[in-house]
Amino acid sequence: MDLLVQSEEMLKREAEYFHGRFFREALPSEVVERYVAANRICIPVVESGTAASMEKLVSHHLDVEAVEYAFRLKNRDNALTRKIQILFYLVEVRCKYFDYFFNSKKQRLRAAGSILPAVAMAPYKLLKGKYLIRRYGLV
Amino acid sequence: MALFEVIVVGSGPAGTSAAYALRGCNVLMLDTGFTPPDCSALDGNIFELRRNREDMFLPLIGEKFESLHNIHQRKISLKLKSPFMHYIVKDWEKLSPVSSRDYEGACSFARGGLANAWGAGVYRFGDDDLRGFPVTAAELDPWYKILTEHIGVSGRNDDLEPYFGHEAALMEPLRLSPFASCFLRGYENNRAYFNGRGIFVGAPRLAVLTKDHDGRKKYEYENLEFFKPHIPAVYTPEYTLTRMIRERSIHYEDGCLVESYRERDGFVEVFARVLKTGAVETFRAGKLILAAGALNTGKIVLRSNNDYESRLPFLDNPMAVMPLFRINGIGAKQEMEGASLAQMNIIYDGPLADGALQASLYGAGGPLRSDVLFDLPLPMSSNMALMKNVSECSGAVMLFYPGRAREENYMKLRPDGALEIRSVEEKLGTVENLLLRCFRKIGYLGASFMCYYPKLGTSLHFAGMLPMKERPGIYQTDRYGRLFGARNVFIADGACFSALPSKNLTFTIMANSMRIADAVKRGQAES
Repeated sequence: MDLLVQSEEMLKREAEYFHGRFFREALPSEVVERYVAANRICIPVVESGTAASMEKLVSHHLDVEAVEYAFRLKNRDNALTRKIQILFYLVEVRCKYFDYFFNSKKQRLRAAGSILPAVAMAPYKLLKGKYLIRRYGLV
Repeated sequence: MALFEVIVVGSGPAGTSAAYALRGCNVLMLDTGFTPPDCSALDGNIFELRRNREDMFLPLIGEKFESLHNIHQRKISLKLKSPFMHYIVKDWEKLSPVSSRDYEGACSFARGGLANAWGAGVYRFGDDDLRGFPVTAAELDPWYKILTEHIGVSGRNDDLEPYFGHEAALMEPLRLSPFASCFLRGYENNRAYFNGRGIFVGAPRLAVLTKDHDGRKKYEYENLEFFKPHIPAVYTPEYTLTRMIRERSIHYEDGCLVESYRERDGFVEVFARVLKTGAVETFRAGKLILAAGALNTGKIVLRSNNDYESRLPFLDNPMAVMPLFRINGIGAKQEMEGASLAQMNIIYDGPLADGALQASLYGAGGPLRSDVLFDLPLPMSSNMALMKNVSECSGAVMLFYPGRAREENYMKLRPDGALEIRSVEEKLGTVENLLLRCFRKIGYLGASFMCYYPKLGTSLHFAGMLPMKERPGIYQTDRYGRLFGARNVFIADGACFSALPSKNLTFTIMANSMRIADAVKRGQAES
């Protein structure tokens, strides 16, 4: 399979789209620049099929969380998981995102209220991810 | 050319302890000696910094994206990949390449060695641990005592005393996290149940100060262990080395990679590559103590013998990581003050293992969330909700098994200079199942399918390449670490260990290297 270098424009679109699926904040421009730079180091080339899949994910506004989950359960080291992990590293170290990762106060009921649906949603996300992978021929 | 009394190669726990015991002699330490960058961006509590500073990219991810190391390169310990800690393993694959299918270890060319990122566990070997060594616990005792006073050790004489020994000079143990203190309470309330199954729990012995000691400040609970080297309260050999250099009790040459040696009549020549110029420089001394870290020491000996065929034994502690979760703590507030060090020690001493096994309980607060989020079994937004709400009531037990000498486990030097390392994976799991069952009784939930078995080398506890023997043969050493067939070459690091018990070996490396260096100094180690 051919190996491609993804364009800067595509990487920027990925960053915007992936970020929007997981976080409510506006994506800081430094994070976009760093996402591009980190991809150049961590994933300098991708297979042509992977590049096409990224393009489809972004342009068709597919549920990236569901697709990533289905890919991750099959192969932890797939390109989409690594890209989203890069994005998470880059936002995690910014104070605006602190509350996504840490509880600033005790919230037992709220915790139960967020964990139970999150766990219950997993099978649905998996099925949806598998469907999208097949439907759009993602690799 | 100057002739030193002793050349010590390496500045890690073994090299620094040997040099410390040799004070008063004309000693030269040769070291590559990489040093850390300026870490002042991480002055303060890690959670406060992350909550209040807009962008912590440089200290936590790094200008060269060091923290993303495991996304695209051979995996290394989470502690070694953060930007300010990365110098510890800087260039190791270039300076000491390893060829192995499964190896996930590393070695260090930093000043102070891998101990710059150690867990600070200091455990005396008892006679049971020293089975196979030509040395007894009583012979190591005086050196353990000197070290305990020198570095400062916190802990408690508790249920683990039969395994760790009685220590009069202990400082108070570190304050426990709520996760660990509930665990301890659960154990204490069910002591008979646990002890009846061979499980004993107590405070770890840590080279961490809980009161000011010898010019170093006590521990501040800033949770920086994954990100910042040289936290004054956490001992590293670098402190002792810096003091010895300042007091001029040793000569120190950094930027030198020792490659080989040659014995001459009455002295030893040491050949070191100067990293800046690439030139090879020769140093001379009456005695040579190799303490470059077990792998590199083995490599130097093989290269000095032009031996690209022999296989040296390779010992490493196989590990099991058991995630644990306590349902009562869901939704707890993130504790800002804490430690990313071992919170408790657990000993298993029962019929399922040959000898006592040691484990440590850690909280989940240390690493970046993104280091672990993608290993949880749910979709990402669910993993985030889970991590956020259970991190304060979850953690992991790291269980170490003894490293076994087997023919299939070896290292050898290849003609291209790379080390070939092979090791057979052990079948583990029985003890983990028992521990998980017992922990459930006190509300700590875990499951065997969640257990993780890191690859070869991850423990970074390497040993046994040139083992001490009562009657040494080729590539073995005598009780003073003197290499068989050599007159003035001594091995002082983990390479001379005759066996590798489950207990963390660093404290014993330090004590043993002092014992060897002292024997060299006093002339006891003459052939």
